[in-house]
Amino acid sequence: MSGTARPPGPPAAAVAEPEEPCTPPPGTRVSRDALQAIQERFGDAVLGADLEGTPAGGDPWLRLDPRRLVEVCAWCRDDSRFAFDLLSLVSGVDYPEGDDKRIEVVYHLDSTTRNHWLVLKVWCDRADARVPSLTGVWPTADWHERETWDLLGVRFEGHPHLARILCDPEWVGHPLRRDYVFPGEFRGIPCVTE
Amino acid sequence: MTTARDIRTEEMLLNMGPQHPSTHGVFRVVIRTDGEVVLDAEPHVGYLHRCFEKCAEGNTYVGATPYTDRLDYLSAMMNNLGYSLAVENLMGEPVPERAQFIRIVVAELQRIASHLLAIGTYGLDVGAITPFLYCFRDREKLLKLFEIVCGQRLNYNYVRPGGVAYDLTPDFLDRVRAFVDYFPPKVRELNDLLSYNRIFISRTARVGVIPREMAIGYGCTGPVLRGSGVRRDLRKDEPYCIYDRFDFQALAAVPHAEDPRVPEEVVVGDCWSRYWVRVNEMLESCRIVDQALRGMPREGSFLARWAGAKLKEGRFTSKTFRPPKGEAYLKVENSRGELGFYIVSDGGTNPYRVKCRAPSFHNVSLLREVSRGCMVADMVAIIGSLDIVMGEVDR
Amino acid sequence: MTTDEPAADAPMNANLDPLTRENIFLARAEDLTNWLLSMKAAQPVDAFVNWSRKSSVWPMTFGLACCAIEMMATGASKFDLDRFGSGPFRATPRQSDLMIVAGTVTHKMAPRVKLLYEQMPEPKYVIAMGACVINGGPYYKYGYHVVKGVDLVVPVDVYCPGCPPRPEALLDALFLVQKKIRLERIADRGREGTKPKVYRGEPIFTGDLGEDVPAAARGAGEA
Repeated sequence: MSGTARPPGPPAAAVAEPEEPCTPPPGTRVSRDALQAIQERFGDAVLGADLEGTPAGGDPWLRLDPRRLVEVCAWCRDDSRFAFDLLSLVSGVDYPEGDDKRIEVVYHLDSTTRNHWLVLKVWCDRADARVPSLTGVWPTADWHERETWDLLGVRFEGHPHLARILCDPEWVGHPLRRDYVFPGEFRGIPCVTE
Repeated sequence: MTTARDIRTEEMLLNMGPQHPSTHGVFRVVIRTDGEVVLDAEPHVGYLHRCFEKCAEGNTYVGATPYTDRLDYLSAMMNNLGYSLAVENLMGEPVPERAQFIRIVVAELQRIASHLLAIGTYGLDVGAITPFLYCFRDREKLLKLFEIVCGQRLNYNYVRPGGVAYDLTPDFLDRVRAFVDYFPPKVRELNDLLSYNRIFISRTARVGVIPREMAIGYGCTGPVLRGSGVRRDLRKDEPYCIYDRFDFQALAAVPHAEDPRVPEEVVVGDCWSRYWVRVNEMLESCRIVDQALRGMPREGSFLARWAGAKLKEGRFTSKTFRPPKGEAYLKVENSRGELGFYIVSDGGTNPYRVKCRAPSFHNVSLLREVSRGCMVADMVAIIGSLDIVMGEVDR
Repeated sequence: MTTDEPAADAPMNANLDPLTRENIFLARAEDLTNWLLSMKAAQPVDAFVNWSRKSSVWPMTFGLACCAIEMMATGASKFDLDRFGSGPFRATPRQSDLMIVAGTVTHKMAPRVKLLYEQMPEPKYVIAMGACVINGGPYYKYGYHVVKGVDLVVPVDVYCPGCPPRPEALLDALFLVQKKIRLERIADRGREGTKPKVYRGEPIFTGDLGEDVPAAARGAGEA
């Protein structure tokens, strides 16, 4: 199979010269109004923020107090100016190094009517990661939170059925933690490769 | 006289999958039935959990691209595209014009190929075997095109951060042109064969109706959301690449009153509507490819300077690069819905964290809600109309 | 199932070497008798039983991942598995002879693979289709949840490499299974280690494989 071989053809064209027309990467449509409005309305719930984003194209975000998360999210969904009716993604990121060892849970909210979106973050302790569940706000949070529990070991309080979803129910450990050690065998099947 | 109501039935637990021909992969549903009626259907996923996110953390940015192929293996080009766009967004670097056009051509051809498979196997699921063979006949033509462009039939690894892996061959555009001329009449053939087939309509109309609020609440996107009447298409609403330069329609299911081509018994949100959105999207994709062929610059590079390295005389390949510290999230309109990649960079050569928003993951999570109260035989029709790919659900 | 109708001026001659005729469907009893008589050295009963078995290898629909799509393509219009007597994909293991493991086997799926294999009636064959099934493929290093080769779970008869293998490669794997069936002896059935070994081409590694490899695997077998 010629997976790596270049198909026959003319010699490759030159790599982009600076004067050649280039299309810049797509801009993000993070709603800065929503960032502003949340800060005004829930000022005490906002523990940190990056309102600029990285110059290269990173997204601005707000870091919320976990105890106020459900309240803020319900407001985001119901406020007619923003109407974040679609929970696009829940992801967990593990930061075991540095001064603030933490797991970040990142929520990407999306709106089907306004075409903008929003990034919210919650920090939790690595040893005892607990975040309130958003299943009451968006039904789709159910599976996302199960996945985050499965892979990163974040316990979502108030989730109706927080069980492993991707890995086997008997799996040990949370594989996407940075310090995860691969198992030697599972159910008698060896896993070690090197 | 004994009526159906007098017959006493017992609840039964029925295990469908993980190896079942109509579940489109290794998908397991535990169905609690009362007679023929489904009381509850609990989906179990994870039988194809291939650790994409861990693999991506262990590889360089370019090295993680092949793993994205294997997420949604029926639309690998668009997976590559979504990932590449997210990396480009992280880098903040532009992409050459010609590469953008090549990307659009291959992505839209891929959408046609993916929908052809979805439609063909859906026919197979509800009992029509012939459309499957017709669809695969046309799909093979597309796979031939992809083979010309990158040497693979299924997992291409063609679209890379910064552009595409190889330039097009001289006759590729002519072959695509021939396909674009060939294909639309075949859709009419498909309509005669399957779409307006009375048996097919009876099996799919008013079955598995997903109201729009339910679809949005469960995060459904793509043909499932559009089949519920929501006109949301990222190519229109949040244009990425250069989709804003093309003339095409974002489709949504409409009732018979608004479109006479839709049969009378169809309601918005049922299986037939989702199927119909896919059929029409193939024609829209043909229009986009047609325009891209006209607009494509004849000269130009296929890989941006920041991402490419010179190998030998006239040969270029992707090189390792280090995006600045930060995070980016970007979504593209995959053939199944909104495919997003959330990438966190710590400034190194490998991504610190890659998280994939898989459209099928959301579409399948709705199954429990939508199948409550339907007949057991309709489960197959519903699962087929959601068009799930387990590689993407389980990642 | 298709039959090759012989041309009028070329009667279906049974003097052909049976090895070269493996995919010709013998339609007439007369041809069949001649063909069996021509196999002087071989056991006629073995030959007949093996021929009929290899001409109707029924695979199980066992699509796990990407490779399943290529398996479907092999069964569909262009490549048409039906030509080789292997068309009817059975949905149940109890009606099938061949398990094409097409796609990554994960630890969650492995018990099911084993169960399905055990539900198949003897004699049964397994094709490991694709890199993931052979040794974990691209998920070898970081795939914590991927079984590093389905041969850790069930015995494999034919390995079919590729990611995913092309339909032609899968057809080739099927031919190897058919070749294997043809070389079997009924008397050996059920006895350990009597399954014939078949290879495609020359083995890549010709040096000493060490003590860990069974002696039978070292020979080139039937080329």
